Amino acid sequence: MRKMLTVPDLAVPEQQAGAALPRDRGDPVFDEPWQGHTFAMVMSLYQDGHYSWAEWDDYLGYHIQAPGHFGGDDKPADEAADESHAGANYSRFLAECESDGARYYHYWQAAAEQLLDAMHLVPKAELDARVAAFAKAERGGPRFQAGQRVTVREIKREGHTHLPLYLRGITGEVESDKGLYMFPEMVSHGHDHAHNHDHADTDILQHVYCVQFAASDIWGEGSHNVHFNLWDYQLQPA
Amino acid sequence: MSSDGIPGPDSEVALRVKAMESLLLEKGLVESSAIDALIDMFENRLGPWNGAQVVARAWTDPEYKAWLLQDGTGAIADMGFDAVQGEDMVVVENTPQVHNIVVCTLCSCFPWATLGLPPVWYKSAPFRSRAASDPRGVLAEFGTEIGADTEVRVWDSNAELRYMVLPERPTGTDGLDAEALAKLVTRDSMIGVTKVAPPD
Repeated sequence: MRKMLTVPDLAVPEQQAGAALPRDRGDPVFDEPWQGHTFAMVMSLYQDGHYSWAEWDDYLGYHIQAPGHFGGDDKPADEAADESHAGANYSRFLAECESDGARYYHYWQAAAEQLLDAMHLVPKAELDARVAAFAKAERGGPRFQAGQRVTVREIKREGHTHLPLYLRGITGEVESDKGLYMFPEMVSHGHDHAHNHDHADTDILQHVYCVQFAASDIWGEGSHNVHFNLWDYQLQPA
Repeated sequence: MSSDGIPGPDSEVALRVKAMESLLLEKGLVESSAIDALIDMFENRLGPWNGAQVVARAWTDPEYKAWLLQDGTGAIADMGFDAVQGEDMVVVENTPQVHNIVVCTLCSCFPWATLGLPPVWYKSAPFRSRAASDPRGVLAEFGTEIGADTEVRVWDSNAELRYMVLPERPTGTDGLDAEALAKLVTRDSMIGVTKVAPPD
């Protein structure tokens, strides 16, 4: 079923390769990383045969069909144009085009959400719940700061866990907060499954901390330090 | 999210994209490596430099040019640029008598294999509506003057058939080889909103 992309064999000429290549009046292909991701998700699902390109076009076309049909732009046309083409002799018409076109991947994402819901690939309610969970995680800052002493919780789990079990009860020092990551126990065991066990109130997106332990604290010998990346759920204040 | 279902600010839509990707990954419907490969392909492998090589070859090889205009898909594939979605390519030639301009009035269909992803303005409603109804006006907006006795042809792309313009070879380029010529060819000239400028 999978329709393979045929990547051209011809190498990109050296002087043209690389991020500096002007592509869109000097702008990158994707202005923001999320634009590339929503684009690639739709492409990947299409390549795997989950829908035809014509089906996708119906949804995308609906969302981008008319100027101003889906509400105003984030910025007035003049302002958007001024930012990207300061000083350029740039017509008002083209400024309007740039301004409307800047919303393209917003429309793209909206169309993707509708299509995936209609195809029962990602139901809207499930997506909205995940968005809310992510928003909650991003609102809350890290629980621990660099330099803080933390102890690994006495987590008892059946089956595979991503926690090195020999760290349970050991105290170490937070070296740094690595940011938000998906909690693998929730991902690999599935949300519903997790609800039946000890992760019922666990956030799916958690801060991960790099924690430094003294080898002697873990094994009773050794003079070196060992660093582990641990999820918030696995830690408690020492 | 607003009532029409369009996510609002960038931070909000970025969160929705991340949430959707996390669910698709969990369900095994997409793989991280496939997402990364697609992004890399469109950022680094597909782009107007591909189309520029096609144009430069057509300018220097009359047999190739005839093939390109008769069977765009095959002639472009001969350069190693295969259709991304199995779409067919049609190449239309600009001459002193005819000026071609490409648009996708319904959405944003574009010749990915030769030009990469479309520019921001190509995807916009003002361009999509006006290019078809007032092409001379749109060309003027791009600073492109077309003589009154030149015929203007507008080509509406769709998902199955996508157009690319073979621009006119500029004057003063007789001594240039295909490699040097390719450097003169711009993306906009292959959409037909501008002409290829002669070398400085």
